[in-house]
Amino acid sequence: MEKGNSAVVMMALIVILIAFIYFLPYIAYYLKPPYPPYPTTTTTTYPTTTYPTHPTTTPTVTTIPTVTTTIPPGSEASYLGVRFVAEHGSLQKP
Amino acid sequence: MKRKLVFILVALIALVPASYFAVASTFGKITPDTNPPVRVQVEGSQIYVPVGEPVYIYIKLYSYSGASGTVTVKVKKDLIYYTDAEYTTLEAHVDIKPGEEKEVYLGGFVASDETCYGHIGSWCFPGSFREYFIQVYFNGRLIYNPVSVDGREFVRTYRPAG
Repeated sequence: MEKGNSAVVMMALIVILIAFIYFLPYIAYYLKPPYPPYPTTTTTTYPTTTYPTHPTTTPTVTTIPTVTTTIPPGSEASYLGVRFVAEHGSLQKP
Repeated sequence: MKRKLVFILVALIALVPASYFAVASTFGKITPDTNPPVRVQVEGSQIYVPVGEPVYIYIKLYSYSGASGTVTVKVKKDLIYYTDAEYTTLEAHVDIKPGEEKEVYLGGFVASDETCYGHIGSWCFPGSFREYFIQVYFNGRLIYNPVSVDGREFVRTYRPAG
């Protein structure tokens, strides 16, 4: 074979190789086995639940008395209160 | 010599609170025979009076089934930095009918201590007196023992201006 011919063959081979590489993904795409069919999706309807409404409560405020009477069991008398009396003074801090 | 001086100093420091508690319980007592003043300016369960003011005590009692006996009121000093000290004791006999509410006059005491919250400026140390409060006994049984400093009945004092 002549030198010129061998060069042309080499060029042709290179072109074929490049074309093969270029088209390889397409070839692979057509050669691969088909995908199995996707499972059909089913929509499930859940039962609608209705929750009972919480009853509205009004808070009860309990006032705790500042003075508590101690009545021990068996005592005959219980304490109700004291009254301090003075000639001078006040009920508020002067 | 040095040891003796230190011992005396320590003894004096220990004696200050001891003498505070050793004040006789009859001090400042006003017997029930003494009538309260005709001109009453202040009366209530929480009052403020000038230092040295006589304060008279009325106790209200109730009995479901009727009772007869001695009501005792211990007037105590509330001290901030020491344990509370007894100031004076007042007693009176009482007869209560069933279901009756009865007020008893027990006499009084002289509010001789000045209410003072700590203070270094006008010097109120040691002990720092806050208020007079009461404990009530009926026939020797404790029937009232308040603990709340601000909620209970009290007599606090102040130094009158001028």
